[in-house]
Amino acid sequence: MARYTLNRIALGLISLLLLSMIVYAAAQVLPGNPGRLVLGREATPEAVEQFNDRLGFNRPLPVRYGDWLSDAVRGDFGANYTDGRAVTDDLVPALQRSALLVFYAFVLCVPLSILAGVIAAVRRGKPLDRTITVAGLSLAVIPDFVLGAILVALFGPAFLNWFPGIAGVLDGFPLLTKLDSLFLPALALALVLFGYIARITRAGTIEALAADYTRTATLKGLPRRRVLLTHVVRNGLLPTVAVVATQIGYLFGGVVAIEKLFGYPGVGLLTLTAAQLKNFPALLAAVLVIGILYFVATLLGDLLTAALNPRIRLGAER
Amino acid sequence: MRYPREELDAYRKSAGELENELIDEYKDGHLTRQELLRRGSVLGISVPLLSLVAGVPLAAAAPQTTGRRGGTLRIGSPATDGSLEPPLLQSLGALAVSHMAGEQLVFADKNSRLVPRIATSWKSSNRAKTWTFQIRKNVKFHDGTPLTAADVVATFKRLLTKDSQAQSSYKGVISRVRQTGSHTVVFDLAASNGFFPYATSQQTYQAIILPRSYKLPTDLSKPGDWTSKMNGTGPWRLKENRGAAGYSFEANPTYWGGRPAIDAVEWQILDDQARATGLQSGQIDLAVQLTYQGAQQVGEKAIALRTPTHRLVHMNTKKEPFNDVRVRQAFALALNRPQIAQGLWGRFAEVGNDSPLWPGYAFTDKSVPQRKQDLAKARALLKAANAENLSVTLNCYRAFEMPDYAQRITQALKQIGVNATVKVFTSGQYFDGVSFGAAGKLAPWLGVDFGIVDYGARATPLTYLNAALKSGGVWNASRYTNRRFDRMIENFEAAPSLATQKRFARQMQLELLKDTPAIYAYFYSYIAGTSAKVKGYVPDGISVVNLRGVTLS
Repeated sequence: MARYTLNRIALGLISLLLLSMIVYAAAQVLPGNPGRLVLGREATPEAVEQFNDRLGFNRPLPVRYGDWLSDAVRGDFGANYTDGRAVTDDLVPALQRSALLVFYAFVLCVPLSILAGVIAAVRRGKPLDRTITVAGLSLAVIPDFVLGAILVALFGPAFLNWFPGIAGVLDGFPLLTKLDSLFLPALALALVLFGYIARITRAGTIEALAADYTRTATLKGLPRRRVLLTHVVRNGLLPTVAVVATQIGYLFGGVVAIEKLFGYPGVGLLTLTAAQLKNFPALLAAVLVIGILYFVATLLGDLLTAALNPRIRLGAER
Repeated sequence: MRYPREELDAYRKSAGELENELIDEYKDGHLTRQELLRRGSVLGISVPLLSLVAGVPLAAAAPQTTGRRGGTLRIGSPATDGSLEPPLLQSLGALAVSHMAGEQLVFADKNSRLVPRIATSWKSSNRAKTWTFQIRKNVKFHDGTPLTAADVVATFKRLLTKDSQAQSSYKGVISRVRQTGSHTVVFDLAASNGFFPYATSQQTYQAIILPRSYKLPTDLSKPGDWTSKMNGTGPWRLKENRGAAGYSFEANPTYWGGRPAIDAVEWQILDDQARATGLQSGQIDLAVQLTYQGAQQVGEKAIALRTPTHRLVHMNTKKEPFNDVRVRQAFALALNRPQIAQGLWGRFAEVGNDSPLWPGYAFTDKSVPQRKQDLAKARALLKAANAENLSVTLNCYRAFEMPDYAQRITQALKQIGVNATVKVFTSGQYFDGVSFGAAGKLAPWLGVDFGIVDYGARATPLTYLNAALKSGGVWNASRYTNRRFDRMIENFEAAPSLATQKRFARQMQLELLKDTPAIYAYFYSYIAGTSAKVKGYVPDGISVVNLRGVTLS
């Protein structure tokens, strides 16, 4: 298991290194000139050139990348081009905000989708199964920002007025206000994930329902509820656990549109704004941090899967 | 004690030519009271004196605070994409934030009347080639340092350097700025300019008065002086700069105009849609700017201010096919302006007549015939110019309604047989380069032969005329060269009276209709929004959030 873990960590670090290289190179070809964007339309070419010089744009790309990487591994992501403030001053609070949103989405989504997946498996082929499967698939194919816009139109101030239509900056507000303001964005994210998690749960449960140990338990005369809870759900949820863990990373990377729609200044909105303004230090830091989160979440998922399924672990060790 | 008549006579003896011209114009019945107030404010004549001229008391422009004191105002504003440092200001979101803590010599109100701020009075001499401003005493920066004329002089000298974003306003206009007393500043201008005080108002939003010790940031690894402290003289002190997560301001207890009625301002960065929804759901009290869609969404909470904000569609007069005036006229005649304006801005737009002389300006001649869609004439003009079956590319950048406007233009041109395609740039691409007159790669928005660009609200059309239409203008994308028109601008700028301004304005309107170097199809209102609890807010066309006189219920 230790060897498997080390292998996965090594692979993850290589992936992160490659990610940072790709993003660093891609950021260089974003349209627009950083000096011109910061200094404005009326700045002289000399001033723009000087600005870019100070940022090191005239040095070779590998050298710039090397310098950036050596600072980044020490936690120094530099300063914003736009206002000179440290990138971490914006990044850390943004991550905290996104973490709250993602956690909230999971709290809404995971119990509901697992329950729906189990019910669909137990009622396989029945109208309830079809309803859950079709609803899950439909929700999964609608982009999250479209779902968000529909939720705002329905539950927001324009119609039912049950929830605020935006989240805004919620730092320092009571938890209840935060939960109220973040309900619609969290629900939009939760609904997108619902179909995926419910389908995985359904598949795992169906497999467990057909397994020998379930048949044996039933033939032994155990009550159906006990068979379901002790043998079916416990075994059927193994793939779900791994999938849920990997979705943490997906959510951190995928909240851009939702955060923009609801005016919630999390890490997604920070990434988008940084890309629009060619604010490389913030863009690179945000992408790298999202990459790390994705890596950690995936590693967690893999380790959980391996711990729960010895065949994977043994395969890795052979 | 003197009688009012004696008071006025005494003033006229000491006043300059422009002031006396104004008084004569009013006495002869050529000006309304509103025009007297507006023009009088530009010339620095006090309201009591204008009341003497009018023979009736005229209201001061300053709003009166009503309602209860205290509370926190929650503002939603567009992103501050760009520097907050005053000399570098260029984006709406950034200027709105910086003007909370800073202020300028004067402020142009919603009626284009100039209201004293750092300057208490101003007057012209030498046929409006010299302007003298008296600086308010007992004004302190937020760090407690008293403001003097030296700070004002340093601010304007800084704005005249190559690093400033105010060059299009001041370069070639201000020859010299000097201090002649502890609280007196003199501007020597390159040419007579009866509108100059406007150039010191928020129209040139970079001209926030800063301490003489202020330096533009050179070390980019640290925030600039202003970004971290906002050491201005304004009614709001920066409490916290949270960057993308917004700003906190607190009332300045030592503000020269008295402590603001509201205790604190929480400033959030929200995009267009979120501002409208936030206002609707009560999560913000004031939306700095709303789109047309946003205004429709919030309904009665939208407040519109009629402004000369417009889109300029330039045609390169030096290059085929636009070097033939008939082609330019045909393009202008193809547009159904009322339909376009209505479709893009609804009730918030008014039709333009191919000149930047907005109908809301006092000097604009409204009797000049309106250009209307005439497809038959447009086709005939193209035929006469031997320019049938033209193919052109219309360029714009992705902002506001411009891509939509571009599509509507191409549809209109199809009706006269012109095959037009639209090329949409990002803002970064469109403005990446220099303006005319500077060395370096020309920015695409100026380099393309057929393009759209946005011009913000200005209390006078001088920037629109000098920068975009005068021969050699820094933003003259049409490459329009007409010496006669240049002289009209100069005469208009130096005109001592409204009647003279009107005369030259009419000449310019007719000349632009004839030559059509650019299409001005509509002007639109600045739209802000407030909740019912905000009392007394009046939006500003430039996006300065003026909270004087504003209370919360």
